[in-house]
Amino acid sequence: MDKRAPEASKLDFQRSAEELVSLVRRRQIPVKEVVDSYKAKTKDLREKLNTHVFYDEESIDFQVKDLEKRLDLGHELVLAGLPILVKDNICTKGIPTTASSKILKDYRPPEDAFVVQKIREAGGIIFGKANCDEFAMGSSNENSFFGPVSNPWDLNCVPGGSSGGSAAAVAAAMVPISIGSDTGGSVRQPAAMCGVVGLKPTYGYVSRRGLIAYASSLDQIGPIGTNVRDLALVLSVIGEHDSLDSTSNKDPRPDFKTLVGWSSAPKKLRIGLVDEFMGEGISSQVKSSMIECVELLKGHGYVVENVSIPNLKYSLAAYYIIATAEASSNLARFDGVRYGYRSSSSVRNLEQLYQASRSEGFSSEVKKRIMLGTFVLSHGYYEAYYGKANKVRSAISRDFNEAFRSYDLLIGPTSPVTAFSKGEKRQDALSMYLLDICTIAANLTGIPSISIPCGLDHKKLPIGLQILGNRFQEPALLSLAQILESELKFSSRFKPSLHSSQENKSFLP
Amino acid sequence: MLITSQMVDKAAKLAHLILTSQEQEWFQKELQSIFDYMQLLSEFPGDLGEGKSEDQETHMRADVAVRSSVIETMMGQAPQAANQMFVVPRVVDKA
Repeated sequence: MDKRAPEASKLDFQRSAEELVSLVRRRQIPVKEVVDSYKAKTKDLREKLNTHVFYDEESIDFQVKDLEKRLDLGHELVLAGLPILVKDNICTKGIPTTASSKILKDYRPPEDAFVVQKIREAGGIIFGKANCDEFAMGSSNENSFFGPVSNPWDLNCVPGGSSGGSAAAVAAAMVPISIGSDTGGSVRQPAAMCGVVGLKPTYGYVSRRGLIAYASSLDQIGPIGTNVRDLALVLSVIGEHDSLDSTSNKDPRPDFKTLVGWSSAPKKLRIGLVDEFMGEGISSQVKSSMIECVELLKGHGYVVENVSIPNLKYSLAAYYIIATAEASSNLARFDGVRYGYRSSSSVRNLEQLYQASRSEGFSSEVKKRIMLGTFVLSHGYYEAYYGKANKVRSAISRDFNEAFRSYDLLIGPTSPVTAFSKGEKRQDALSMYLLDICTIAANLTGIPSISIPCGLDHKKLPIGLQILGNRFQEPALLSLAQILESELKFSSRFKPSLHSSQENKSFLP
Repeated sequence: MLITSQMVDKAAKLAHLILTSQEQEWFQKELQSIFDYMQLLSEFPGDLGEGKSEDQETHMRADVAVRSSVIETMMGQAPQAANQMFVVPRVVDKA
């Protein structure tokens, strides 16, 4: 019997992931139809945007056949038939995982990352590997061995980074969901620049097993999608204790209904607008957009007040010391011996092999961060830099704890500016690092944070609003995000042009 | 703090990297601009405690040997391997 609902006859890319899964689970739309639609979209746009570093239709078809068998057996699969693109620094068994680096060019992991295991178990389809900044080190996705990613809103612009391919692919409707990693804003900042939603969960909420480490005390995996409920759906699958990640929290996680439970959310949340996120370096249009959102919330009866996090002014300096110190240690494993790239130059000893392989395999940005981290950990400088950075980190955590005594949630911009032209900031490390100024605090303190699109600037490029919650307060975070999302109606009002700024743009409406 | 070419050389050596003279000059400039910004930390009062958030803990598990099923796969990824061992240049010089 044909179980197809009349409305399911055509896949129009407007459906949420939640709707798609529901249709697939009720057998009202064949998995193959869902997958073929996204395959066609990916084929159309993949080269134009350079979103993928690996894409293999044969492997997708294999997953579809396997899923159909499981559905025939009556398996209840929370992500049934959902195409999901995975950032290339997250291990996928037998599928290239390069962290967009030459040094891992041909690496195929022997195991799936924990999150990939969970997605497969829940019936999700791994839809390729997303381009990113090399080892997730970047804020513009221009530091990739495979070339830069283009922003679907203006092909001349960067998509943000480091999960630029993941965000751009969702914005261009090549997949309904992608997975990124966020060490200093790498899920939220590209989500903001591409007009989609990105979540960095609480540190320890999602296992980091199988994530190629950049800075282990800051790294966290998170989903990117077009709406908040879809992220909650994915989080309910990937957020689970993992005994093989020593930092994975052991407490039970809320289920999907609790994560999006409007009724269980406080009726009148108290919200703090962080002063330091509205200061120097934040574009006037981004500020205006934040103020509009504040007024919107006040209009609905929410208490929104200004709040100061005094030590935030030290956060960027502390972040780049801690992140690079950890990176210098984590990336020491890439030496041309056990896996990855080995230099073919003539070398006389092991040290020369290490040096040649690493010097040829890493890009300048990665080398710079490794050297910075090596330096701040070296004798004579350790206490002045690394020691002090950790004290700053503690002080910022205490500031946030204090703020959360008075406020349920905090808000501010995700990125100080909207997407910028490719090459514009590449020659100035500091101006690139300053792009993370609003996002790094959540990584330093381990708190959850989400970016939702809240408007367009004068160039018709998306602006992102960031919401931060206390540790493991994801339900409150997602509730406010849903409230704002339903008021702002961003995704139904605006769509990316898929053209460069020199060409005509066609916006809806 | 002034970043000198000797400091860049030292960091590169510790990081097992070789830099061309052009790269060395570029890194010196880049690192200088980053360290200039980091001077901001000197304003931070130093007596505000140490360590990470007390909410974060590390869970230990039993130290039990587990047989791995991926050894052959991993050895197959090695740039150069023989007899289930990684081949590297000579480590010990001939006497």
